[in-house]
Amino acid sequence: MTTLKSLAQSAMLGSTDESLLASAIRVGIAELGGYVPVAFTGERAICGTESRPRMPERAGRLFKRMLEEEMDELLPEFLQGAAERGYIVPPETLPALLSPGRNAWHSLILPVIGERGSWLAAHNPAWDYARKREPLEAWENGTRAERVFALERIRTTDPARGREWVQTCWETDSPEDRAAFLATFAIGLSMDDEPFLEACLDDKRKEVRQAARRLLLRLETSRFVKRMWTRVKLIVRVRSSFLNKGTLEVTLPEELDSAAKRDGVGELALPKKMGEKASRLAQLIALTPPVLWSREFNRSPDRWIAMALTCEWKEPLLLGWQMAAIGTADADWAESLILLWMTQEEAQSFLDMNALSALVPLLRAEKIEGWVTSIEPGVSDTRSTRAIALLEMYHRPWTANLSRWVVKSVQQQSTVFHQRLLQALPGFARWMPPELSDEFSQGWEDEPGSGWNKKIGSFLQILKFRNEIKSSLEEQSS
Amino acid sequence: MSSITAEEAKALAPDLASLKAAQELADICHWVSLGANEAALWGECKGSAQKPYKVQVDLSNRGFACTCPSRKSPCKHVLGLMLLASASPTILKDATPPAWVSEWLEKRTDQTSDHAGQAEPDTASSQSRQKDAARRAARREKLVAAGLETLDLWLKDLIRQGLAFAQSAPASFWEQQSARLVDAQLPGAARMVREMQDIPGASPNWTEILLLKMARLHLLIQAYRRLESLPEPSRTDVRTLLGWTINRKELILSSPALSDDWLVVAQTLEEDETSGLRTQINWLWGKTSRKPAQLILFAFRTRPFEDHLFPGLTLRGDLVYFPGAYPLRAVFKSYRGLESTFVPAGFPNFLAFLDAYSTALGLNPWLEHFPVVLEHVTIERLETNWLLCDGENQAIPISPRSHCWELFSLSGGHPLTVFGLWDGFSFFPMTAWENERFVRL
Repeated sequence: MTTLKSLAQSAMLGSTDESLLASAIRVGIAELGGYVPVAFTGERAICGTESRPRMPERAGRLFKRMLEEEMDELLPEFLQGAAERGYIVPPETLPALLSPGRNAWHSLILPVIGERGSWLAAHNPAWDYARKREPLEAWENGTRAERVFALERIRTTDPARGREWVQTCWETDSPEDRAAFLATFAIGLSMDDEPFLEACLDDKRKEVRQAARRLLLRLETSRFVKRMWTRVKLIVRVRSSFLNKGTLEVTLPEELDSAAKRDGVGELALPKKMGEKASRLAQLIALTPPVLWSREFNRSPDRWIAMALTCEWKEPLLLGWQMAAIGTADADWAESLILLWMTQEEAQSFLDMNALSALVPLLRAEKIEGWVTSIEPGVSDTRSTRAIALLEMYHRPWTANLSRWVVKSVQQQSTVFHQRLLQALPGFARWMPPELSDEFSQGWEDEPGSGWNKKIGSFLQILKFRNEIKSSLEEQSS
Repeated sequence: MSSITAEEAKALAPDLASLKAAQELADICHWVSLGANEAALWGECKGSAQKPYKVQVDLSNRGFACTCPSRKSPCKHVLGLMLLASASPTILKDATPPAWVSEWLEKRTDQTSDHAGQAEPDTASSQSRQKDAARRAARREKLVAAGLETLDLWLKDLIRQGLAFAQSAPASFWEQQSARLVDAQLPGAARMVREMQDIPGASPNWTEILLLKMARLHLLIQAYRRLESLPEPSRTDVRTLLGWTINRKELILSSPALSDDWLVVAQTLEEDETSGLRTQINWLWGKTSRKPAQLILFAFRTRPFEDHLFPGLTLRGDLVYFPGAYPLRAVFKSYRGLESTFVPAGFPNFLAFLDAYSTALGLNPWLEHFPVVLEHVTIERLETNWLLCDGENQAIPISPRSHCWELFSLSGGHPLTVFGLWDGFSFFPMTAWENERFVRL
């Protein structure tokens, strides 16, 4: 029998049949017109009911737009806002949201996908992470990334169980796996983890010992911290008199004892090359929570830094404190070290400039506000220039006053930095309070139009969009 | 001075043979002398006679003359000169015309001014306008016939070479044929050829789809050749498909309208990069009439479309369908936007839908996309294929190029209502309703 298929086959490698096209139309139209569906006999998959409400419709539409226009940088804020209110996303957005390109956001995505999301993920191996399965199952059968992810999830709700999981297969897992698993202990870290972490200091593998040390540093009452503190107190001492505010005396031992070596002194990598003794000092400081210095001696970080600057060991001391401040997320020490960078031209050579960006997010928004808003018009000294540079690195929510100061400065060209601030304005829009978008639409010299600066345009656009997001999530869910 | 374009020269050609011959003559090696100024083009072309032919073109009104004995007007020499001038305007410029050219031009100027001085200019011009229109129409019919001739050859060639060739053919293979059809004032046929380009390799049954598309083009050529013997609706279908336009104003005045609430169920946008023409296709669905309609809008580059339509919008208005055996394309006589919306009523099962499709295809065999609303369907997966399933467990394939995952996710395994296009092979979903909610896919 002649079918469209048989005709296509005979035409595949060429045909001299002059009437082939005429036959094709006759047969083709007859076939199309006589199309018969097939009976479906496969299995059906039906999703269960949702326990949580769908986000308000306007929020859903905005969300779809963000996905379509790939406004990925605004997504985390949106997902977080939705999760805080217990909302789930519209189901048709799930394939785009779950797409593998958004790997880093799994913890942001999972709370908003609902039953439908896990149901859908079970049908596509690329979305396996979103499948609804017991974390234990993922832990026992998953890849390393899946196991880490399962561990992270269990650490948020039941840290002790997470620790038990890791301990159970500790002997058989590879050193790389063990180090990766230990890193998840940063979630829900407590003194309950301390005995296990202390034992890890004797692990054969360096990466495991380092991971354990990073965690122990954050447990002030751990045996590790106690040993470190005893050690450094003997080495760094303050000599005070009535005449001066105090000087630092450093006496380094010639040899490291085995206990110090076990605690990692000598093993910690430094970002700068130093002499052997200086390096040892920097490591000792870096492995000690910096809060102890200010608390135990009742001296502010600023005082310690001032004393260090007059000491011949200032370089290892400052570098050590910087590393310790980052390792323990110590805002006080971060602020004092940043202040040093802002006020001392030579601070560049003591601090690790590459790690400055790790220090900046530790700053409190009010602190930056204070530094920046005190810049006087016409002044462009090191301090004010660097305060402006901080703004560009501070990727955390800003205060209203700081935002207002920056916008006014651009509008009124009231500081020497207005051009630089104008250029950076679109980037700032992500961190300013979105409810100020109406206020910030006012006061510009140009009207929107031909002469309108593009930077101002995109700044307002981003800020207004964030405000839309915020208000849309606050609407009553339908 | 208004320079001559190749398109203009092509449009003037009396037949394809003249044009081909002229294209060969558009080479300076055939010319003894060549010249041009603001008023005219001229040249002496070597021919079969002893003396070269004297060829001249009046640029002010496109008058022409040639000393060759050909009865064709314009002859290949005139066309050749025009093509040469359009291709290399720098060769032909600012020359002083020889006596035979200036004399001819003077004579023509006298004639034209005499003509302008005659009485009753209104009737004369209206008559000549009518004559012009008739001449233009006749010229177009000629161009079209020639264009379809080349298309027929091209289709036969492709069958002779084999469909396998289509998969490895360079883009120019399709583009050149499509451009030739545009030149022959056949934009509709040109579009069909362009669309063929994307078929090879796109689906497992691409050879069947390509063959059917070719067969449809072949049928179109056949139908045009015996246009007079076709019933009126089919005649309109053929002419519309080939690219004749219908005057919308006249249509609205002369045809009955269908009043209903119309929901814009889907919208697509295409942009032609070279011309900047944007085409917006809107699919409408009538609430009471339960009929589909296709509303096409055009705009250039960043200009807005005449009407602001978007998916999900409901309009109450009078719609006039373009004539045809299975009318789909339509235009609004009048409309206003409505606040309320509705979920369109569609076919209850696939057998009813396929029955309607079969009828439509019988009326218009060129119907490539059958718009359809299907109620109470589920989306199923069989290995890597997606299926649409009705309440009676009958399944049809979903186009793998559509947003299958989005539709599947939206359904959650539960039945919903969908709108999409059926091309006889698979269903392309464009919109779905989750209860009352309109979801664009």
